[in-house]
Amino acid sequence: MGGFSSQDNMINEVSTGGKFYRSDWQKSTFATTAQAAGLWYSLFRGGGNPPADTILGTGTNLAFQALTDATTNATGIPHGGNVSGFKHLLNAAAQSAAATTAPCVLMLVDLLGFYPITTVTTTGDQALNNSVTIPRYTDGAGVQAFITPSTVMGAATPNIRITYTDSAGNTGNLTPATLPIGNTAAAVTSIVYSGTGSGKFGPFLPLAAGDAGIRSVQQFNLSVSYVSGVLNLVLCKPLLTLPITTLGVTAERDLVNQFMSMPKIYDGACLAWLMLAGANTPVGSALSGHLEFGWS
Amino acid sequence: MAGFKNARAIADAADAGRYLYRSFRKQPTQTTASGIWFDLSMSPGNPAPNYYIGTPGVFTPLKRSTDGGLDHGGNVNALGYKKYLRKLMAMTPTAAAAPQTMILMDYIGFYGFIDESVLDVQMLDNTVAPTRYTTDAGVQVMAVVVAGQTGGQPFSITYTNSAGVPGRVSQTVRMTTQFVNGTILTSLPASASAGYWGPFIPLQSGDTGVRSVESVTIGGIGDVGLFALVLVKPLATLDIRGIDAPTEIDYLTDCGISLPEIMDDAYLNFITLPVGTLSGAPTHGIIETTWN
Repeated sequence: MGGFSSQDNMINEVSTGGKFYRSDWQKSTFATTAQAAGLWYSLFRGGGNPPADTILGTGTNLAFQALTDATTNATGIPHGGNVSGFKHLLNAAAQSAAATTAPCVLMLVDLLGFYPITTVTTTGDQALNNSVTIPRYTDGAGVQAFITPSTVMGAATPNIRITYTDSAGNTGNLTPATLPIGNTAAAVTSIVYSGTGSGKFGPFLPLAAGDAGIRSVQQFNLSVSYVSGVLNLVLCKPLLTLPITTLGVTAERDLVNQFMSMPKIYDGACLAWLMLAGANTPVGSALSGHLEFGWS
Repeated sequence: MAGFKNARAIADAADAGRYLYRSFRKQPTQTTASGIWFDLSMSPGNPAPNYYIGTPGVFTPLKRSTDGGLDHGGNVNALGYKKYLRKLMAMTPTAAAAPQTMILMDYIGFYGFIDESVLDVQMLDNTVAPTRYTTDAGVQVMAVVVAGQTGGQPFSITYTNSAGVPGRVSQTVRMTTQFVNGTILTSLPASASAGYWGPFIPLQSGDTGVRSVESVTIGGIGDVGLFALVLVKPLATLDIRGIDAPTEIDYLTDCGISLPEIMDDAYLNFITLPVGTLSGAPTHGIIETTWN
Protein backbone atom coordinates (compact mmCIF):
# COMPACT_ATOMS: atom_id res chain seq x y z
CA MET A 1 0.00 0.00 0.00
CA GLY A 2 1.37 3.42 -0.89
CA GLY A 3 1.06 6.42 1.35
CA PHE A 4 0.83 6.76 5.09
CA SER A 5 -1.91 5.08 7.13
CA SER A 6 -1.83 7.75 9.82
CA GLN A 7 0.21 10.65 11.09
CA ASP A 8 1.84 8.30 13.60
CA ASN A 9 2.77 6.02 10.71
CA MET A 10 4.26 8.94 8.83
CA ILE A 11 6.32 10.05 11.81
CA ASN A 12 7.55 6.51 12.32
CA GLU A 13 8.41 5.91 8.68
CA VAL A 14 10.24 9.20 8.31
CA SER A 15 12.05 9.29 11.60
CA THR A 16 12.59 5.65 12.57
CA GLY A 17 12.49 4.15 9.12
CA GLY A 18 14.56 6.86 7.51
CA LYS A 19 12.19 7.08 4.54
CA PHE A 20 12.97 10.68 3.91
CA TYR A 21 14.83 12.50 1.16
CA ARG A 22 15.80 16.12 0.88
CA SER A 23 16.64 17.61 -2.49
CA ASP A 24 18.23 21.02 -2.74
CA TRP A 25 17.87 22.69 -6.09
CA GLN A 26 19.06 25.83 -7.80
CA LYS A 27 17.69 26.94 -11.15
CA SER A 28 18.23 30.08 -13.14
CA THR A 29 16.03 31.76 -15.65
CA PHE A 30 17.02 31.15 -19.25
CA ALA A 31 20.52 32.29 -20.03
CA THR A 32 19.74 33.98 -23.33
CA THR A 33 16.42 35.77 -23.14
CA ALA A 34 15.04 37.85 -20.31
CA GLN A 35 11.60 37.12 -18.93
CA ALA A 36 8.71 39.50 -19.49
CA ALA A 37 6.31 40.39 -16.71
CA GLY A 38 3.05 38.49 -16.85
CA LEU A 39 4.29 35.55 -18.88
CA TRP A 40 4.82 31.98 -17.74
CA TYR A 41 8.15 30.25 -18.28
CA SER A 42 9.63 26.81 -17.79
CA LEU A 43 12.79 26.63 -15.71
CA PHE A 44 13.55 23.18 -17.16
CA ARG A 45 16.01 24.78 -19.59
CA GLY A 46 17.49 27.15 -17.06
CA GLY A 47 20.97 26.45 -15.83
CA GLY A 48 21.88 25.40 -12.33
CA ASN A 49 21.49 22.20 -10.41
CA PRO A 50 20.02 20.17 -11.99
CA PRO A 51 21.44 21.60 -15.21
CA ALA A 52 19.47 22.79 -18.21
CA ASP A 53 17.67 20.10 -20.15
CA THR A 54 18.83 19.42 -23.65
CA ILE A 55 16.04 17.08 -24.62
CA LEU A 56 13.19 19.39 -25.59
CA GLY A 57 13.15 19.92 -29.30
CA THR A 58 14.95 16.66 -30.03
CA GLY A 59 13.66 13.37 -31.38
CA THR A 60 11.22 12.56 -34.12
CA ASN A 61 8.97 15.40 -35.15
CA LEU A 62 5.43 15.04 -33.69
CA ALA A 63 6.28 11.82 -31.82
CA PHE A 64 5.68 11.65 -28.08
CA GLN A 65 8.71 11.06 -25.89
CA ALA A 66 8.27 10.08 -22.27
CA LEU A 67 10.24 11.80 -19.55
CA THR A 68 11.44 10.28 -16.31
CA ASP A 69 14.06 11.13 -13.74
CA ALA A 70 16.36 8.71 -15.54
CA THR A 71 15.86 9.93 -19.10
CA THR A 72 19.10 11.03 -20.69
CA ASN A 73 19.32 14.81 -21.06
CA ALA A 74 16.10 15.29 -19.10
CA THR A 75 17.20 17.00 -15.96
CA GLY A 76 14.44 16.74 -13.43
CA ILE A 77 14.97 17.69 -9.82
CA PRO A 78 16.09 14.53 -7.99
CA HIS A 79 13.64 13.02 -5.55
CA GLY A 80 15.45 9.98 -4.30
CA GLY A 81 14.78 7.15 -6.69
CA ASN A 82 12.02 4.61 -6.90
CA VAL A 83 10.15 3.37 -3.84
CA SER A 84 7.77 0.91 -5.47
CA GLY A 85 4.95 3.38 -5.80
CA PHE A 86 5.04 6.96 -4.75
CA LYS A 87 6.46 9.33 -2.23
CA HIS A 88 4.74 12.30 -0.69
CA LEU A 89 6.09 15.80 -0.97
CA LEU A 90 6.24 17.03 2.62
CA ASN A 91 7.89 20.44 2.41
CA ALA A 92 8.94 22.86 -0.27
CA ALA A 93 10.84 26.13 -0.23
CA ALA A 94 12.17 28.64 -2.72
CA GLN A 95 13.92 31.97 -2.63
CA SER A 96 15.80 34.38 -4.82
CA ALA A 97 18.09 37.31 -4.27
CA ALA A 98 18.33 38.18 -7.96
CA ALA A 99 17.10 41.65 -8.78
CA THR A 100 13.54 41.88 -10.08
CA THR A 101 12.96 38.15 -9.81
CA ALA A 102 10.23 38.83 -7.27
CA PRO A 103 7.34 38.71 -7.30
CA CYS A 104 6.81 35.46 -9.06
CA VAL A 105 4.77 32.32 -8.70
CA LEU A 106 6.46 28.95 -9.02
CA MET A 107 4.53 25.83 -9.93
CA LEU A 108 6.09 22.40 -9.45
CA VAL A 109 5.12 19.95 -12.16
CA ASP A 110 5.89 16.36 -13.05
CA LEU A 111 6.90 16.45 -16.70
CA LEU A 112 5.46 13.34 -18.32
CA GLY A 113 6.72 13.84 -21.84
CA PHE A 114 6.53 16.01 -24.90
CA TYR A 115 5.82 16.14 -28.60
CA PRO A 116 8.58 18.07 -30.43
CA ILE A 117 7.13 20.11 -33.27
CA THR A 118 9.55 21.33 -35.88
CA THR A 119 6.89 21.76 -38.57
CA VAL A 120 5.80 25.12 -37.28
CA THR A 121 5.10 26.56 -40.70
CA THR A 122 2.46 23.91 -41.34
CA THR A 123 -1.09 25.11 -40.82
CA GLY A 124 -4.09 22.98 -39.97
CA ASP A 125 -4.13 19.68 -38.12
CA GLN A 126 -0.90 17.74 -37.83
CA ALA A 127 -1.21 14.17 -36.61
CA LEU A 128 0.84 13.31 -33.54
CA ASN A 129 2.49 9.96 -32.96
CA ASN A 130 1.49 8.23 -29.73
CA SER A 131 3.45 5.01 -30.09
CA VAL A 132 4.93 5.95 -26.73
CA THR A 133 2.40 6.72 -24.02
CA ILE A 134 2.59 8.80 -20.87
CA PRO A 135 4.61 6.96 -18.22
CA ARG A 136 2.69 8.13 -15.16
CA TYR A 137 -0.92 9.20 -14.56
CA THR A 138 -1.61 6.83 -17.40
CA ASP A 139 -5.35 7.48 -17.50
CA GLY A 140 -4.60 11.19 -17.89
CA ALA A 141 -6.37 12.32 -14.73
CA GLY A 142 -5.06 15.75 -13.83
CA VAL A 143 -2.63 15.83 -16.75
CA GLN A 144 -2.31 19.24 -18.35
CA ALA A 145 -0.49 20.57 -21.42
CA PHE A 146 1.67 23.58 -22.13
CA ILE A 147 3.65 24.67 -25.16
CA THR A 148 7.15 26.05 -25.01
CA PRO A 149 9.78 26.71 -27.69
CA SER A 150 13.22 25.17 -27.68
CA THR A 151 14.17 27.46 -30.57
CA VAL A 152 12.87 31.00 -30.64
CA MET A 153 9.69 31.37 -32.69
CA GLY A 154 9.11 33.58 -35.68
CA ALA A 155 7.11 36.74 -36.01
CA ALA A 156 3.52 35.47 -35.98
CA THR A 157 0.55 35.12 -33.67
CA PRO A 158 -1.20 31.88 -34.62
CA ASN A 159 -4.24 30.48 -32.88
CA ILE A 160 -3.30 27.18 -31.29
CA ARG A 161 -5.56 24.17 -30.92
CA ILE A 162 -5.09 20.56 -29.93
CA THR A 163 -7.31 17.53 -30.39
CA TYR A 164 -6.93 15.15 -27.50
CA THR A 165 -8.23 12.13 -25.65
CA ASP A 166 -9.41 13.06 -22.18
CA SER A 167 -8.90 11.17 -18.95
CA ALA A 168 -12.22 9.38 -19.38
CA GLY A 169 -11.08 8.03 -22.73
CA ASN A 170 -13.26 10.27 -24.85
CA THR A 171 -11.56 11.05 -28.13
CA GLY A 172 -11.72 14.05 -30.40
CA ASN A 173 -11.88 16.71 -27.70
CA LEU A 174 -10.85 20.16 -28.89
CA THR A 175 -9.31 23.16 -27.20
CA PRO A 176 -12.36 25.35 -26.62
CA ALA A 177 -12.82 28.87 -27.90
CA THR A 178 -11.40 31.40 -27.22
CA LEU A 179 -8.34 29.67 -28.66
CA PRO A 180 -4.92 30.41 -27.18
CA ILE A 181 -2.89 32.84 -29.28
CA GLY A 182 0.84 32.35 -29.63
CA ASN A 183 3.09 35.30 -28.84
CA THR A 184 5.14 36.70 -31.68
CA ALA A 185 8.82 35.81 -31.48
CA ALA A 186 8.09 33.71 -28.41
CA ALA A 187 11.28 33.13 -26.49
CA VAL A 188 12.79 29.80 -25.56
CA THR A 189 11.34 28.60 -22.23
CA SER A 190 8.30 30.88 -22.46
CA ILE A 191 4.83 29.42 -22.53
CA VAL A 192 3.85 30.77 -25.87
CA TYR A 193 0.21 31.67 -25.25
CA SER A 194 0.68 33.21 -21.78
CA GLY A 195 0.56 36.94 -21.16
CA THR A 196 -1.92 39.75 -21.17
CA GLY A 197 -5.09 40.13 -23.16
CA SER A 198 -7.57 37.97 -25.03
CA GLY A 199 -6.41 34.51 -25.98
CA LYS A 200 -3.85 34.40 -23.20
CA PHE A 201 -3.87 31.59 -20.65
CA GLY A 202 -1.59 30.59 -17.87
CA PRO A 203 0.00 28.21 -17.68
CA PHE A 204 -1.97 25.38 -19.29
CA LEU A 205 -3.99 25.01 -22.45
CA PRO A 206 -7.69 25.20 -21.63
CA LEU A 207 -9.59 21.94 -21.93
CA ALA A 208 -13.10 21.18 -23.07
CA ALA A 209 -15.81 21.75 -20.51
CA GLY A 210 -15.69 19.28 -17.65
CA ASP A 211 -12.51 17.56 -18.78
CA ALA A 212 -10.24 16.53 -15.95
CA GLY A 213 -7.10 15.74 -17.87
CA ILE A 214 -5.34 14.64 -21.03
CA ARG A 215 -4.43 11.04 -21.83
CA SER A 216 -2.88 11.77 -25.20
CA VAL A 217 -2.93 14.35 -27.96
CA GLN A 218 -3.86 13.35 -31.49
CA GLN A 219 -3.66 16.59 -33.45
CA PHE A 220 -1.78 19.85 -33.21
CA ASN A 221 -3.08 22.85 -35.13
CA LEU A 222 -1.67 26.27 -35.96
CA SER A 223 -4.03 28.66 -37.72
CA VAL A 224 -1.17 30.37 -39.56
CA SER A 225 2.50 29.67 -39.98
CA TYR A 226 4.67 30.39 -36.96
CA VAL A 227 7.39 31.22 -39.54
CA SER A 228 10.28 29.59 -37.72
CA GLY A 229 11.31 27.95 -34.47
CA VAL A 230 10.67 24.69 -32.65
CA LEU A 231 7.76 24.07 -30.31
CA ASN A 232 7.28 21.44 -27.66
CA LEU A 233 3.84 20.32 -26.55
CA VAL A 234 4.54 19.16 -23.02
CA LEU A 235 2.25 17.00 -20.88
CA CYS A 236 2.61 17.41 -17.13
CA LYS A 237 0.91 16.98 -13.79
CA PRO A 238 0.78 20.13 -11.63
CA LEU A 239 1.74 19.43 -8.03
CA LEU A 240 1.86 22.69 -6.09
CA THR A 241 2.24 26.44 -6.34
CA LEU A 242 4.69 28.54 -4.37
CA PRO A 243 4.52 32.35 -4.56
CA ILE A 244 7.60 34.45 -3.88
CA THR A 245 6.88 38.07 -3.06
CA THR A 246 10.14 39.51 -1.86
CA LEU A 247 13.79 39.18 -2.70
CA GLY A 248 15.68 37.39 0.00
CA VAL A 249 12.62 36.06 1.77
CA THR A 250 12.11 32.33 1.54
CA ALA A 251 8.72 31.08 0.45
CA GLU A 252 7.96 27.93 2.42
CA ARG A 253 5.27 25.30 2.20
CA ASP A 254 4.51 22.76 4.90
CA LEU A 255 2.50 20.30 2.87
CA VAL A 256 1.72 18.02 5.80
CA ASN A 257 -0.21 20.42 7.93
CA GLN A 258 -2.03 22.02 5.05
CA PHE A 259 -5.15 19.98 4.71
CA MET A 260 -5.13 17.37 1.98
CA SER A 261 -2.00 18.42 0.22
CA MET A 262 1.05 16.12 0.43
CA PRO A 263 1.24 15.73 -3.35
CA LYS A 264 2.15 12.28 -4.63
CA ILE A 265 5.48 11.99 -6.41
CA TYR A 266 5.36 8.82 -8.45
CA ASP A 267 8.38 6.70 -9.22
CA GLY A 268 10.15 8.15 -12.20
CA ALA A 269 8.75 11.64 -11.80
CA CYS A 270 10.60 14.30 -13.77
CA LEU A 271 10.19 17.35 -11.55
CA ALA A 272 10.57 20.88 -12.85
CA TRP A 273 9.37 24.37 -12.04
CA LEU A 274 7.17 26.64 -14.09
CA MET A 275 7.38 30.32 -13.24
CA LEU A 276 4.95 33.22 -13.64
CA ALA A 277 7.20 36.25 -13.95
CA GLY A 278 5.84 39.16 -11.98
CA ALA A 279 8.43 41.55 -13.31
CA ASN A 280 10.78 41.77 -16.22
CA THR A 281 13.44 39.35 -15.06
CA PRO A 282 17.03 39.40 -16.33
CA VAL A 283 18.67 36.40 -17.93
CA GLY A 284 20.27 33.91 -15.61
CA SER A 285 18.48 35.08 -12.46
CA ALA A 286 19.00 32.42 -9.84
CA LEU A 287 16.34 30.80 -7.70
CA SER A 288 17.02 28.11 -5.17
CA GLY A 289 15.28 26.03 -2.58
CA HIS A 290 14.60 22.54 -1.44
CA LEU A 291 12.04 19.77 -1.61
CA GLU A 292 11.54 17.16 1.11
CA PHE A 293 9.95 13.78 0.51
CA GLY A 294 8.73 10.96 2.69
CA TRP A 295 7.29 7.54 1.95
CA SER A 296 6.09 4.36 3.59
CA MET B 1 -25.29 13.86 -5.95
CA ALA B 2 -23.27 16.84 -7.11
CA GLY B 3 -20.88 18.36 -4.62
CA PHE B 4 -18.61 16.99 -1.91
CA LYS B 5 -20.02 14.74 0.77
CA ASN B 6 -16.81 14.55 2.77
CA ALA B 7 -13.13 15.37 2.82
CA ARG B 8 -12.27 12.17 0.99
CA ALA B 9 -14.40 13.26 -1.93
CA ILE B 10 -12.43 16.49 -2.18
CA ALA B 11 -9.13 14.63 -2.24
CA ASP B 12 -10.47 12.11 -4.73
CA ALA B 13 -11.65 14.87 -7.05
CA ALA B 14 -8.18 16.40 -7.04
CA ASP B 15 -6.59 13.02 -7.72
CA ALA B 16 -9.03 12.48 -10.56
CA GLY B 17 -7.96 15.74 -12.15
CA ARG B 18 -11.14 17.65 -11.42
CA TYR B 19 -8.99 20.55 -10.33
CA LEU B 20 -7.88 23.64 -12.19
CA TYR B 21 -5.10 26.18 -11.70
CA ARG B 22 -5.23 29.51 -13.49
CA SER B 23 -3.15 32.61 -13.03
CA PHE B 24 -4.28 36.21 -13.30
CA ARG B 25 -2.47 39.51 -13.43
CA LYS B 26 -4.28 42.84 -13.37
CA GLN B 27 -2.44 46.10 -13.73
CA PRO B 28 -4.71 49.17 -13.75
CA THR B 29 -3.83 52.21 -15.78
CA GLN B 30 -6.36 54.26 -13.86
CA THR B 31 -5.38 56.52 -11.01
CA THR B 32 -7.40 55.42 -8.02
CA ALA B 33 -7.61 56.94 -4.57
CA SER B 34 -7.69 55.65 -1.04
CA GLY B 35 -10.99 54.35 0.19
CA ILE B 36 -12.79 54.31 -3.13
CA TRP B 37 -13.84 50.93 -4.49
CA PHE B 38 -12.64 50.11 -7.97
CA ASP B 39 -13.66 47.51 -10.54
CA LEU B 40 -10.60 45.56 -11.68
CA SER B 41 -12.56 44.05 -14.55
CA MET B 42 -12.02 47.36 -16.38
CA SER B 43 -8.24 47.21 -16.07
CA PRO B 44 -5.69 45.75 -18.46
CA GLY B 45 -4.02 42.47 -17.83
CA ASN B 46 -5.08 38.90 -17.79
CA PRO B 47 -8.00 38.43 -18.08
CA ALA B 48 -8.50 41.06 -20.75
CA PRO B 49 -10.46 44.14 -19.68
CA ASN B 50 -14.23 44.41 -19.79
CA TYR B 51 -15.73 47.70 -20.99
CA TYR B 52 -19.44 47.14 -20.32
CA ILE B 53 -20.30 47.47 -23.98
CA GLY B 54 -24.00 46.97 -24.57
CA THR B 55 -27.15 48.72 -25.68
CA PRO B 56 -27.92 51.60 -23.30
CA GLY B 57 -30.36 50.61 -20.59
CA VAL B 58 -30.70 47.03 -21.80
CA PHE B 59 -29.68 44.10 -19.63
CA THR B 60 -26.63 42.40 -21.13
CA PRO B 61 -25.53 39.10 -19.57
CA LEU B 62 -21.86 38.49 -18.88
CA LYS B 63 -20.52 34.99 -19.43
CA ARG B 64 -17.17 33.29 -19.31
CA SER B 65 -17.79 31.72 -22.69
CA THR B 66 -18.38 35.01 -24.46
CA ASP B 67 -16.80 37.69 -22.29
CA GLY B 68 -13.92 35.97 -20.51
CA GLY B 69 -13.14 37.04 -16.98
CA LEU B 70 -11.02 34.96 -14.64
CA ASP B 71 -10.87 31.53 -16.15
CA HIS B 72 -12.33 28.92 -13.82
CA GLY B 73 -12.72 26.10 -16.32
CA GLY B 74 -15.59 24.96 -18.48
CA ASN B 75 -19.13 24.01 -17.59
CA VAL B 76 -19.60 20.97 -15.39
CA ASN B 77 -23.26 20.92 -14.34
CA ALA B 78 -24.34 18.83 -17.31
CA LEU B 79 -21.84 16.19 -16.20
CA GLY B 80 -23.51 15.98 -12.82
CA TYR B 81 -20.93 18.10 -11.01
CA LYS B 82 -20.84 21.38 -9.14
CA LYS B 83 -17.76 23.55 -9.20
CA TYR B 84 -16.26 25.27 -6.17
CA LEU B 85 -13.60 27.84 -5.41
CA ARG B 86 -10.89 25.99 -3.53
CA LYS B 87 -8.06 28.52 -3.24
CA LEU B 88 -7.17 32.08 -4.08
CA MET B 89 -3.74 33.65 -3.93
CA ALA B 90 -2.92 37.29 -4.65
CA MET B 91 0.10 39.51 -4.16
CA THR B 92 1.50 42.82 -5.29
CA PRO B 93 5.05 44.16 -5.31
CA THR B 94 3.90 47.80 -5.25
CA ALA B 95 3.82 49.48 -1.86
CA ALA B 96 1.06 51.89 -2.84
CA ALA B 97 -1.19 48.93 -3.64
CA ALA B 98 -1.12 47.44 -0.18
CA PRO B 99 -3.12 46.91 1.88
CA GLN B 100 -5.92 46.10 -0.52
CA THR B 101 -9.24 44.34 0.03
CA MET B 102 -10.47 42.35 -2.92
CA ILE B 103 -13.87 40.77 -3.50
CA LEU B 104 -14.23 37.99 -6.04
CA MET B 105 -17.62 38.21 -7.69
CA ASP B 106 -19.74 36.59 -10.33
CA TYR B 107 -20.69 39.42 -12.67
CA ILE B 108 -24.13 38.29 -13.79
CA GLY B 109 -24.76 41.08 -16.27
CA PHE B 110 -25.23 44.80 -16.62
CA TYR B 111 -27.37 47.65 -17.86
CA GLY B 112 -25.03 49.75 -19.94
CA PHE B 113 -24.53 53.48 -20.40
CA ILE B 114 -26.94 54.98 -17.87
CA ASP B 115 -26.98 58.70 -18.67
CA GLU B 116 -26.44 60.89 -15.61
CA SER B 117 -27.78 63.98 -17.36
CA VAL B 118 -31.30 62.59 -17.76
CA LEU B 119 -33.47 63.64 -14.83
CA ASP B 120 -36.57 61.77 -15.95
CA VAL B 121 -37.05 58.21 -14.78
CA GLN B 122 -34.98 55.97 -17.03
CA MET B 123 -36.74 52.66 -17.63
CA LEU B 124 -34.48 49.66 -18.13
CA ASP B 125 -35.05 46.78 -20.54
CA ASN B 126 -35.18 43.29 -19.07
CA THR B 127 -36.09 41.43 -22.24
CA VAL B 128 -33.02 39.32 -21.70
CA ALA B 129 -33.04 37.73 -18.28
CA PRO B 130 -30.07 36.75 -16.12
CA THR B 131 -28.99 33.15 -16.45
CA ARG B 132 -27.39 32.76 -13.04
CA TYR B 133 -28.71 33.40 -9.51
CA THR B 134 -32.15 34.05 -10.97
CA THR B 135 -33.93 33.74 -7.62
CA ASP B 136 -31.09 33.78 -5.16
CA ALA B 137 -30.64 36.10 -2.25
CA GLY B 138 -27.36 37.92 -2.21
CA VAL B 139 -27.32 39.39 -5.68
CA GLN B 140 -26.22 43.00 -5.38
CA VAL B 141 -26.22 46.02 -7.67
CA MET B 142 -23.05 47.94 -8.37
CA ALA B 143 -22.78 51.19 -10.32
CA VAL B 144 -19.54 51.48 -12.28
CA VAL B 145 -18.24 54.62 -13.95
CA VAL B 146 -17.77 54.19 -17.71
CA ALA B 147 -17.57 57.91 -18.55
CA GLY B 148 -16.45 60.33 -15.90
CA GLN B 149 -18.70 62.55 -13.83
CA THR B 150 -18.28 65.52 -11.53
CA GLY B 151 -19.95 63.87 -8.57
CA GLY B 152 -22.18 64.72 -5.69
CA GLN B 153 -25.54 64.12 -7.37
CA PRO B 154 -28.06 61.65 -5.92
CA PHE B 155 -29.70 58.68 -7.62
CA SER B 156 -31.77 55.63 -6.78
CA ILE B 157 -33.06 52.52 -8.50
CA THR B 158 -36.26 50.51 -8.47
CA TYR B 159 -35.93 46.77 -8.69
CA THR B 160 -37.49 43.36 -8.21
CA ASN B 161 -36.11 41.72 -5.13
CA SER B 162 -34.95 38.12 -4.76
CA ALA B 163 -38.41 37.09 -3.57
CA GLY B 164 -39.90 38.35 -6.82
CA VAL B 165 -41.51 41.48 -5.39
CA PRO B 166 -41.32 44.34 -7.94
CA GLY B 167 -41.29 48.06 -7.28
CA ARG B 168 -38.75 48.00 -4.51
CA VAL B 169 -36.81 51.25 -4.13
CA SER B 170 -33.19 51.47 -3.11
CA GLN B 171 -31.74 53.94 -0.68
CA THR B 172 -30.71 57.17 -2.33
CA VAL B 173 -27.01 57.21 -3.02
CA ARG B 174 -24.62 59.85 -4.31
CA MET B 175 -22.08 59.90 -7.06
CA THR B 176 -18.46 59.92 -6.01
CA THR B 177 -16.04 62.56 -7.19
CA GLN B 178 -13.49 60.07 -8.53
CA PHE B 179 -14.16 59.95 -12.24
CA VAL B 180 -11.82 57.40 -13.78
CA ASN B 181 -13.45 54.49 -15.54
CA GLY B 182 -13.91 51.53 -13.23
CA THR B 183 -14.65 53.62 -10.16
CA ILE B 184 -17.58 52.34 -8.14
CA LEU B 185 -19.88 55.31 -8.40
CA THR B 186 -21.29 55.06 -4.88
CA SER B 187 -17.96 54.87 -3.12
CA LEU B 188 -16.19 57.69 -1.32
CA PRO B 189 -14.51 57.76 2.07
CA ALA B 190 -17.31 59.65 3.71
CA SER B 191 -20.13 58.55 5.93
CA ALA B 192 -22.91 56.39 4.59
CA SER B 193 -25.34 58.99 5.78
CA ALA B 194 -23.89 61.26 3.15
CA GLY B 195 -24.97 58.74 0.54
CA TYR B 196 -21.68 57.07 -0.22
CA TRP B 197 -22.36 53.52 0.79
CA GLY B 198 -19.53 51.53 -0.66
CA PRO B 199 -19.50 49.01 -3.48
CA PHE B 200 -23.18 48.12 -3.58
CA ILE B 201 -26.35 50.16 -3.76
CA PRO B 202 -28.20 49.66 -0.46
CA LEU B 203 -31.54 47.94 -0.91
CA GLN B 204 -34.93 48.64 0.57
CA SER B 205 -35.18 47.53 4.17
CA GLY B 206 -35.54 43.77 4.49
CA ASP B 207 -34.39 42.89 1.00
CA THR B 208 -31.51 40.47 0.57
CA GLY B 209 -31.03 40.44 -3.16
CA VAL B 210 -32.06 41.66 -6.58
CA ARG B 211 -33.49 39.82 -9.55
CA SER B 212 -33.66 42.74 -11.95
CA VAL B 213 -33.56 46.52 -12.04
CA GLU B 214 -36.55 48.30 -13.51
CA SER B 215 -35.52 51.94 -13.49
CA VAL B 216 -32.97 54.53 -12.48
CA THR B 217 -33.73 58.02 -11.28
CA ILE B 218 -31.04 60.66 -11.28
CA GLY B 219 -31.67 63.51 -8.85
CA GLY B 220 -30.28 66.95 -8.16
CA ILE B 221 -29.03 68.70 -11.24
CA GLY B 222 -27.73 65.57 -12.89
CA ASP B 223 -24.20 65.05 -14.10
CA VAL B 224 -22.19 64.61 -17.25
CA GLY B 225 -21.08 61.00 -17.04
CA LEU B 226 -22.30 57.52 -17.83
CA PHE B 227 -22.34 54.43 -15.68
CA ALA B 228 -23.19 50.76 -15.87
CA LEU B 229 -25.46 49.08 -13.36
CA VAL B 230 -24.03 45.65 -12.74
CA LEU B 231 -25.74 42.69 -11.08
CA VAL B 232 -23.13 40.82 -9.07
CA LYS B 233 -22.95 37.92 -6.67
CA PRO B 234 -20.08 38.34 -4.19
CA LEU B 235 -18.31 35.01 -3.72
CA ALA B 236 -15.18 35.49 -1.65
CA THR B 237 -12.94 38.12 -0.14
CA LEU B 238 -9.25 38.34 0.51
CA ASP B 239 -6.96 41.05 1.81
CA ILE B 240 -3.48 41.79 0.57
CA ARG B 241 -1.84 43.11 3.71
CA GLY B 242 1.61 44.04 2.47
CA ILE B 243 4.16 43.56 -0.24
CA ASP B 244 6.24 41.12 1.76
CA ALA B 245 3.89 38.15 1.62
CA PRO B 246 1.21 36.73 -0.63
CA THR B 247 -2.30 36.31 0.67
CA GLU B 248 -3.41 32.74 0.28
CA ILE B 249 -6.81 31.45 1.26
CA ASP B 250 -7.89 27.84 1.17
CA TYR B 251 -11.67 28.11 1.29
CA LEU B 252 -11.85 24.62 2.73
CA THR B 253 -9.57 25.07 5.71
CA ASP B 254 -9.30 28.81 6.23
CA CYS B 255 -12.84 30.01 5.78
CA GLY B 256 -15.08 27.63 7.64
CA ILE B 257 -15.37 25.14 4.79
CA SER B 258 -17.14 27.80 2.77
CA LEU B 259 -16.05 26.59 -0.68
CA PRO B 260 -18.06 29.14 -2.68
CA GLU B 261 -19.88 27.55 -5.59
CA ILE B 262 -18.99 28.80 -9.05
CA MET B 263 -21.85 28.47 -11.47
CA ASP B 264 -21.50 27.25 -15.03
CA ASP B 265 -20.29 29.98 -17.36
CA ALA B 266 -19.81 32.46 -14.52
CA TYR B 267 -17.98 35.66 -15.40
CA LEU B 268 -15.56 36.16 -12.50
CA ASN B 269 -13.61 39.24 -11.63
CA PHE B 270 -12.58 41.41 -8.70
CA ILE B 271 -13.46 44.70 -7.17
CA THR B 272 -10.90 46.19 -4.85
CA LEU B 273 -10.57 48.80 -2.13
CA PRO B 274 -7.16 50.45 -2.51
CA VAL B 275 -5.31 52.78 -0.18
CA GLY B 276 -3.91 54.86 -3.00
CA THR B 277 -3.39 54.77 -6.69
CA LEU B 278 -3.27 51.39 -8.37
CA SER B 279 -1.97 52.89 -11.60
CA GLY B 280 0.85 50.70 -12.80
CA ALA B 281 0.58 48.40 -9.80
CA PRO B 282 0.32 44.75 -10.80
CA THR B 283 -1.65 42.30 -8.74
CA HIS B 284 -0.72 38.71 -9.45
CA GLY B 285 -2.55 35.66 -8.35
CA ILE B 286 -3.73 32.11 -8.79
CA ILE B 287 -7.29 30.81 -8.69
CA GLU B 288 -7.86 27.13 -8.02
CA THR B 289 -11.20 25.44 -8.58
CA THR B 290 -12.41 21.88 -8.09
CA TRP B 291 -15.57 20.10 -9.09
CA ASN B 292 -17.42 16.96 -8.10
